[in-house]
Amino acid sequence: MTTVNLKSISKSFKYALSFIFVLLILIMGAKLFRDKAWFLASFFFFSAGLIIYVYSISKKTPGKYLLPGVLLLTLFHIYPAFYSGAVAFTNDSNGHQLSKQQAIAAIIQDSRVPIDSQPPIPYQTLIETNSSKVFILFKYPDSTYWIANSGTIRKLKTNLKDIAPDGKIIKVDGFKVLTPAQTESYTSELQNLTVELDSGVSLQPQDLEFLEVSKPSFIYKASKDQLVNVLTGEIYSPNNNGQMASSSGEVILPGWKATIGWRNFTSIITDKEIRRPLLAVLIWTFVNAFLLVLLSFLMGLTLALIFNFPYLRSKRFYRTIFITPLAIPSVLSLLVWSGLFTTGTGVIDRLFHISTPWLTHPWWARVAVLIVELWITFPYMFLISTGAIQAIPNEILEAAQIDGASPLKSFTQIKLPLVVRTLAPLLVASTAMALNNFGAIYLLTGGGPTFSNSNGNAGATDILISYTYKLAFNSQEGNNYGLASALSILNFILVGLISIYGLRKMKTMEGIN
Amino acid sequence: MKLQRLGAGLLGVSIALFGSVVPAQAAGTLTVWVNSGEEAAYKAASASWAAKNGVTLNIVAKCGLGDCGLSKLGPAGAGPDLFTASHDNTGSLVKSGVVTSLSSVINKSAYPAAVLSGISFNYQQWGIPIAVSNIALATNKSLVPTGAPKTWKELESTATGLISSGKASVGIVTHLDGYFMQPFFDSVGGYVFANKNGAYTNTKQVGLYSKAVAKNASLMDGWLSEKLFDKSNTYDASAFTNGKAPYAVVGPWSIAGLDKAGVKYEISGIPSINGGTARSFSGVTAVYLNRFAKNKFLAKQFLTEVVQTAAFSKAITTANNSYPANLEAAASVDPSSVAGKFGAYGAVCIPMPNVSEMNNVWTYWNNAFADWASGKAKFGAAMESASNNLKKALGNS
Repeated sequence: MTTVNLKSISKSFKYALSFIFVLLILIMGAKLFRDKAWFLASFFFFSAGLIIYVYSISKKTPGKYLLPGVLLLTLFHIYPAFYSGAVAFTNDSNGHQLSKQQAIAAIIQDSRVPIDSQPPIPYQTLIETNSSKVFILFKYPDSTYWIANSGTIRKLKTNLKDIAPDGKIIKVDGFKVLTPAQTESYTSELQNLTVELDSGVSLQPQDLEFLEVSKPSFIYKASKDQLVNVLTGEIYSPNNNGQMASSSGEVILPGWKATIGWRNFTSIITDKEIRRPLLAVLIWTFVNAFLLVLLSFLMGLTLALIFNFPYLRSKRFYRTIFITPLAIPSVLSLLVWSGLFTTGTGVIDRLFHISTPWLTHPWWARVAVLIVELWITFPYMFLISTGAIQAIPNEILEAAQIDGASPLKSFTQIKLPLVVRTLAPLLVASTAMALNNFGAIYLLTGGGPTFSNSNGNAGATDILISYTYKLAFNSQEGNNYGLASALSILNFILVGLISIYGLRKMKTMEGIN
Repeated sequence: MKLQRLGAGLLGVSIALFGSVVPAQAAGTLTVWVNSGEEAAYKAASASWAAKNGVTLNIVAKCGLGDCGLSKLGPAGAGPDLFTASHDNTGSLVKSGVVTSLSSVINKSAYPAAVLSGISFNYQQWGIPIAVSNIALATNKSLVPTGAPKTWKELESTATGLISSGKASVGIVTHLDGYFMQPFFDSVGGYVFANKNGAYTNTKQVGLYSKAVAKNASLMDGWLSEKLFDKSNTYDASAFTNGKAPYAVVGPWSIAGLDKAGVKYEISGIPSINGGTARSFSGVTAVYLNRFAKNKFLAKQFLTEVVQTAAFSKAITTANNSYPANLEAAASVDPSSVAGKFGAYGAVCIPMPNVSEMNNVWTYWNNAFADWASGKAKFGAAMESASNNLKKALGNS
């Protein structure tokens, strides 16, 4: 009896949990739907449906194991990859964050000059009964009443009995006249409402009771897609970079987000200001990665050979010591190292009685970066080399010994090839990791010291990915998401190519085996 | 069977959720982003207004002084109604189109001209000023019993005397960058852009390598070599509090730390060489209105009835040791207090340029100081190349 009970309890518990889980996904979906993130919203709804469908099958199916991984992969890898791919073809950057409509509205709004002699005029809010659209009712510039919203304006034929003694209208046919208290719930419509009069004057609610009377310096002609400056007569039309520009090239800010095709990619090559720092960054990216993998492998292998010496005592103790850097969170060691490298007063400088500009001089900073990265990565190399050496069957080495091979020869001819062959895939992976070693650079030097001749944040120790990050999120010239996305695609291609090349090489080595 | 019930239940609940989740921010709610650490002061200073008008005020601590991703969040509808920023962002904020003019809200007579020019751009006002902050000189009184130096000579001889006698390791604790070195840079005759009463309208005239800088550059090199400035370019606040440095360049934000360390200090202006000027950049913290605010009417009402008052300016500045931007509030500051002394020096300072060209300046200017500090270049050479690079970047050459 009890077993049945337990089973039903665990079952209802399971149902309750899955119910809550699916509910959470639906809530997230609903929120995204509200924020008009259509793709993500539909993805969440679709996932919820898929989860219900797959897990309601009573049999064991592969789908049950694969689904969570596939959904998370889509959400956190495939979607961002496609998103940044899409961003790379736009001019998404500071000053280009609005939509075209928003940008034009902003330009006109910012050019509004209040008419000082004209005090604010009172208005009333109406709701059209048929369409439930918001209209305002005002008396300007003469004693006629007008009903208007952003697009339309018309005269109101008034009956004397509809006008209260204070000049307010009580009743309008086809409209509902709102009381001041009712008006408040239409704030969001009213604050975006602008009435353009033929005289070039525009009226805009400044609060729930009054309209501000002002004169914008720009008029937008929708039919020609042009902005006209009414003061100078200058005509501005859209250029190919999401801005309104005059024929002489003068642009008005803000601009809008526009698709600019391959320009982000071509500018990497054609724009000297981008190309020069990027070239230096690229070279250092590769030099850093290859040097790091080479040095840490050599160091790890040497140590592994030494501590594999049969007659050495307390080998375990030494091995444990060497692996500790791996156990310390790298964020922590990076921050500690950056303190150790302080010029003059840092531990390293005090130890050797020197004053080295570790993090402020380009070459010393590069050396410092390599030292710290080496510190973090050599234990891994040590570990895998030890494993690889120990995996070599003793018979082979003994056979070599019997054949009269010197220790050096048995190392270069037998141990090394065997170890390298085993470790080659890991070395390729390490190289790919080192190419993307964002954390070390960002936390230790921040990519600095910055090049004094580049108008950008590129620095002597910047690798491609840290430079990309700076361009996107940390640039003093304004964040350039479009260019950063293009660079991240470039980075992806480079790392991908190197990995493919490395794996190909390894296949040929397997052939020898 | 069970499954269908589960599915039906979920459908029902999710429809109900749609009803509850979809309506956006309720009327009568204002979201304000402020500099982190100052949210308590803002809350306290606006609580009674919020209670009286039945407004829910969400004061959120954010990075506060820059753009904080607002240029992306604002147009997406994820920004606040109001946010604080330091005035030098005005140009970039306006050019990104994320703020809206407050010319019709601001009461110009409540603020000094320099403050107004800081938040003005394209002949409109974009922020409601609250506080003014500038860097000033702190003198360690246990190391220098005579107190703040009156002249540059006094400062220099005191510092070098203490260094040569081994009592001090460095003369002035400061960052070797544009913002912190500006008073000394001004002292030797350099400037970023020509300005007229604090308004930077001509960015064609770059003064990073002015004639005066060319002439006086060797003075700067001398000060570095006599350890008046620390060439390791680390702001070692403990050197000042432990009595190993007679002077430090400090801002209002440093005061809490100095008081906590229990050091005896005096705040004063930075003396100039040869009787010229040694003005630091003053920064105005102001409240800006998001163009995509959910409730602009309420936000404007809040700005007019709360933020613009002397009491509000006073309350915020008392909390963070800065100087009130509001004239009436400033008049009530005790001139012998720390804030009063910052303010007294601030009155002769110049507003930090708020033009968006400034973004390019920082890179080159700071790099030039870094090159000078690390010994890569002499001061004159560093500034000359910074000036040339800047002119090229701005298309002035």
